[in-house]
Amino acid sequence: MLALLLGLPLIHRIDRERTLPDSLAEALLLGAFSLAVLLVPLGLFVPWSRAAYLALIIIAIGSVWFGGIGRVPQKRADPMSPVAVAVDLITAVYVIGYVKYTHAAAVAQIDFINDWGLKGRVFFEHAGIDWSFLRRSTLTSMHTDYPIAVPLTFDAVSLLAGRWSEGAIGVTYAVFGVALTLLMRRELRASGAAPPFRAIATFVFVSVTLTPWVGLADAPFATFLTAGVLAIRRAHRTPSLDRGALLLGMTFLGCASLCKNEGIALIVVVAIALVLTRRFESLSYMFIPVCFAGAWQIVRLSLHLRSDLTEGDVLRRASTALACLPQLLGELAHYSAAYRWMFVGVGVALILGVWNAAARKEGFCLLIVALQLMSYVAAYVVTPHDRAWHIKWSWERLVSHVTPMIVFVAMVSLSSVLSRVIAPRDEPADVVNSQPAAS
Amino acid sequence: MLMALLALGAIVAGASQTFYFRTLTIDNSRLDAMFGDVQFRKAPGLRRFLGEVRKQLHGSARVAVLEPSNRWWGGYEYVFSRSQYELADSELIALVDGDDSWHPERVAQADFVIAWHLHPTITGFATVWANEDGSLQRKAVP
Repeated sequence: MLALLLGLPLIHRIDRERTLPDSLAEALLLGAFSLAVLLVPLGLFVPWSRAAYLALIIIAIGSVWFGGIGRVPQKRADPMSPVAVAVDLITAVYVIGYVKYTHAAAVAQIDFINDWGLKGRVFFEHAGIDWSFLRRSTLTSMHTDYPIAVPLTFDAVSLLAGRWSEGAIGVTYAVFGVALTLLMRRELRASGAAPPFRAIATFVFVSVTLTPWVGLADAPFATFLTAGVLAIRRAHRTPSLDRGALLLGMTFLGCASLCKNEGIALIVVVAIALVLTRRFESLSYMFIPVCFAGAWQIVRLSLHLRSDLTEGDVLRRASTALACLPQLLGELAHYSAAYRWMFVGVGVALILGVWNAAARKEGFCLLIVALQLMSYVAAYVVTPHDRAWHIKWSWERLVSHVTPMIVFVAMVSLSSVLSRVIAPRDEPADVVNSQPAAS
Repeated sequence: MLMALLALGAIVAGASQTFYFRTLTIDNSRLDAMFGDVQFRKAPGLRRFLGEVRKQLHGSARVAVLEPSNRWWGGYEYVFSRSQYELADSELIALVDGDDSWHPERVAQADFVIAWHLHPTITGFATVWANEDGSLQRKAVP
């Protein structure tokens, strides 16, 4: 609720064309991220405490609502379909089951205990960000150079809960997953998918956004990656560039860059994709994620927090790995077992999309998926660790970063092909009153 | 069209994790048992032991960690990393490095020593609490 109260006015200040229901998912994501980031200034003045944090949140909410948010465009209600309602009920049951799983799931992950959860818990006990802990840590598995937005999210949740709470931390993963699902469903609707198809797609979306890796940074990263890229996609689907959506997309990319180091690769990847798809006007907006990522890199460099990937003789490792590239690719294929049938279906959907005008417009998203995966392969090429071991324990998680995106494109493709079978499609223009809101 | 329907079927079937439906029929205590102790299973009782140690420490301290194997990947890293998580309010001191080198001299930097599966006698330290899983030693006040 606090995340929504903080996020809604932020979204409407960034993108005034957005209707209230359309804003909820993004408001939740931006609000949750803002709640975590608020801990940084709080810790500069006083030790973290529940009372001080709540006071700061109230001030933040008051200041973003100050002066109102203007008139919010109205949205036509969705037509109801019995099939869609039935499928949505099944999806809701699935989400409830997931929430139950998350209660004890965080502490089951070794990277939660050694890295993300450890940092969060140390900061929580320290009542502030313990920079000396990051500097002196001897555990290589802790990756002190990784950005700290995700541990701060754990701290935000725990401060509000009044104690370090692995259960509450787990539930935030359901919130992230559901918010991303709603956002993807909305974008699918804007692409013209029929209600029953949207309901089926929602079940698929929720299946790939509710991560089994509770307590790690991969799901928040994938959430902001997908939300960012979909907002940028939306910005380019109007006759004139939708600057609000573009601004929002770039902000989400910045959030992603503060979740995982892979966010830096993502910024480069999006810039390349914008160039290759000739969206040069949008390139100037890249300064937003660059500023987000740059802030952490300044902190990292000033604290001498080193990355294991760039240590030692990188060129020698790269030349050795490239010499046995087929073996590397074989290992990647070997550890790509998860969601095998789903990816077969996605592959078929993408092939069918080649003959479909709506799906052919998704080149920007597909480029990002391909380039982001290539950046991960490049990381394996220079890894100082045993390559097979590194691939075994990370590849499946890394693929999960782009899985929601590629599944979304597949569903757009299928919705066009199946539109005549499942139901006639809605009109994509769902905003009745699309006049810009007065400030 | 048929290919599209087959693709949709494959995506729906391949994406869904039926486990999340099944969790609704499993009670919370069983779910906690299934997942809550996964990362402590190789050292049964370690989490309970660290919980007891945490109560005895009454706040932050500098704590050295002793473990029988004295080899980083032979068990020390396992106990040390979990101790660091459970005793996050304390500064933990490793007596074994990643190259298996043993550094008993670092005990001098510690206010406390936790000894998993050990009940050692350490010069300058006195046992303040112990059970069958190990002991907690505090630096003696001169």
